[in-house]
Amino acid sequence: MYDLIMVRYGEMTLKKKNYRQFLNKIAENIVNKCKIYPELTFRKTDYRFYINLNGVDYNKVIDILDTIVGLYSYSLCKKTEANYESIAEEGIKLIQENFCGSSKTFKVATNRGNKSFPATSIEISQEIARRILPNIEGLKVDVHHPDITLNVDLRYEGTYIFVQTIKGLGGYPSGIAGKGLLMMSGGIDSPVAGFLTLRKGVNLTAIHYASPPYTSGKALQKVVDLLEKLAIYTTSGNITLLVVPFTKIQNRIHEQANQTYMVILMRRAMYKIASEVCRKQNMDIIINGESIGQVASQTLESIKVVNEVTNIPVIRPLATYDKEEIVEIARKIKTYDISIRPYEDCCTVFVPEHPIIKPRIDHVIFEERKCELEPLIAEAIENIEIIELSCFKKYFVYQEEKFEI
Amino acid sequence: MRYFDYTATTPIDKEVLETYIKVQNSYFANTSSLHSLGQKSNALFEQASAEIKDLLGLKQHNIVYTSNATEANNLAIYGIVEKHIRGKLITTKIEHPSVFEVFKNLERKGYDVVYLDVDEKGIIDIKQLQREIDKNTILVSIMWVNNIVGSIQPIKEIIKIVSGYPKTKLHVDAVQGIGKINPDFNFKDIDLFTISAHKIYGPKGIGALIYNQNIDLYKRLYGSSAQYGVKPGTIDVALVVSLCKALKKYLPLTEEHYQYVLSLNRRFRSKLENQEGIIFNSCLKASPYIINLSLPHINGETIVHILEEKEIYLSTGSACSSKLKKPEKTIYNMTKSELLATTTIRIGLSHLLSQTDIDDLAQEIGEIANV
Repeated sequence: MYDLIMVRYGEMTLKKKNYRQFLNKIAENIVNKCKIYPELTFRKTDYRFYINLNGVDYNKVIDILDTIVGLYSYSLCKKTEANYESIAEEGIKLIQENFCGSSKTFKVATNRGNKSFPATSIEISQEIARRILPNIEGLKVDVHHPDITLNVDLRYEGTYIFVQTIKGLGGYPSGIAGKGLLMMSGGIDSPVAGFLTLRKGVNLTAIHYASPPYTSGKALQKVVDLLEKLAIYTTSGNITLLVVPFTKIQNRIHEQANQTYMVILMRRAMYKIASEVCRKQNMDIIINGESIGQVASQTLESIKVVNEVTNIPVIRPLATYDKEEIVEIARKIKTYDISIRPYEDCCTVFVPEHPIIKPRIDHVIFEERKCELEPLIAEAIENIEIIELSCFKKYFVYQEEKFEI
Repeated sequence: MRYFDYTATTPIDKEVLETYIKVQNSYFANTSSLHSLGQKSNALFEQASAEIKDLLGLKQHNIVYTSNATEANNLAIYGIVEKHIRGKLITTKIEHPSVFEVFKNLERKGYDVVYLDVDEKGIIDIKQLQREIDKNTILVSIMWVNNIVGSIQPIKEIIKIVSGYPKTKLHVDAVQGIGKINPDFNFKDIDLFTISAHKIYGPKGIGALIYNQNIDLYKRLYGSSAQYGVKPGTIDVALVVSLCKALKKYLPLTEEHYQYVLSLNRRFRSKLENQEGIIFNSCLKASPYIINLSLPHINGETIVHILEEKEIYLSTGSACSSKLKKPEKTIYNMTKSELLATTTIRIGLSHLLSQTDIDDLAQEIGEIANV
């Protein structure tokens, strides 16, 4: 029933000089992701992007658009002829389709890009409203707070009408901002942090610390499943996962250090490994899901002594978020149900009963020296396992035969 | 033996039964167990749920498996209503007892319940719904296909009306529609709906309540957090997979079977339509799977017994309420005739029947009517 989808770009309209680059990138992303429907055709203008449906189910295209970052909003449009009769006729249908019990008022808003149309936009709106009004029972005009707005877009290339504006993901086009390394535990927070960073156009690689046999292959599968959900939002649909063998480091800390410092030392080791990987692979930032005060290792004091080991910027998109806000996003991006699977991860084994919440740097360094971690860290980096993940093809840590229902 | 009671239940499909046995044997571990065997069961359980959602075009819905549709309907209605101390509830006069009796109970508890009328075709008046619904309405529960006469309710329009009231939830009993009729609406637009496996050649013992994940249902049962806490308890993966298998096999065949059963239905009608002493209660627009008729001078139960002598099996009214010797409420509400409502029989058709089966049945019923 709809002919085309009009896409509006997001925040990048603020960027003056890079505007072209942003625009081309996002158009490229849309076209790429829509390739699975060869019937679709596209047209790009300075402020809008049009997708001609040519018979493709609009719901399927919306599903794709909902995975593309950098889109501000989009509308499902109907094409009509540039005269009052057909605009009003199609407008009536459109309003009736979207007219629900409680909506009683409407207005018409006209955008007259086609200057050859012989009336002003206000006159056009009034005339169309006049024609629609008697045809729908119970409908009234309210130009200030209408329940439904019928938008009429008069362009030289065609006349489009629409009533709904659907919000897109926002942010910047994927891959425009540089590269980042996401620290993934498998909990609720890190995928959300990853998503928010992706939304800002950052290309992500993920790093996960595995401690078999304390953690199982299921914990790794969980990380894989989470990343496959995030990969949906990348241009290519791919994400690389780096798995660090972390058991030896954890064991050493457990044996040598004062237990209250256990988590702090572990996190310092993780940060050291992450920043070394960033340096080697030329990545710009480290991202993690830390949220101020959420657990002992995320108090400001703890963050400070942990952060001390790296000079690579660490971005913490969730620093100021409350847990409920994080969960809400996690549900939206469908990582929540995966995150709550009940397996131990590297952060939940060996947790001391009373971890220190206000660590002092001199004590931390004293404890760390006792462990002599440097050779173990170098060994861990040496043995990193690389897994290429894709949102199109499931990766199984254990290849189990699948049951065909 | 000839079976014409497919509305009451269907025999299990051979492939579905094979699936059931295979899963029951190899995936017996508890889905909540942490060991890999348990997780294997859980993975299959989740796979089945995901496939069901795909088949029904759902993304934002949770599936809770129940023992049957009656339980699912109860959990759905109480789950919504018991979150509110008072409020208005809307349903119809022709619901299945598993919905109707719940509303009767809620009415006794002090909720304001409106039972929508139906016309002579068994269809609600959409304008009456429009008049009755208001911002205090908590729940609207309307069945998709009626189980007695097969009347099809205008779910698409109902969705549209209810969506104008953000606080009002819509529950649809989809048991007699799913796998039999292609919907003109999207399941994803319905807040809560219920289905059952044994009406579509799956096993008995499994139904499902499917509801939008944004809805926080009131928990009637206490136990583990399995199935979102709505229906805690150990999950029978084999039943769940069998439901999935039945849907997977029969949903794609919906249109093909519909057309065939429609032809059987028309064949039957054409043979008896003009015969005196037979009144068709189902209208032509109803689901072709259900033919309801009354032989006004013979008790429905008598007909059932006469036919069973000849190994022909069909029902009076609905199997679920037929043990109560009361006039059938759907027929009564449609016809306002107590006579028609006590002399009704229901023929439940299936793609498994042949034209000869239909001809024989028509002849037998024709003879009874002639007596």
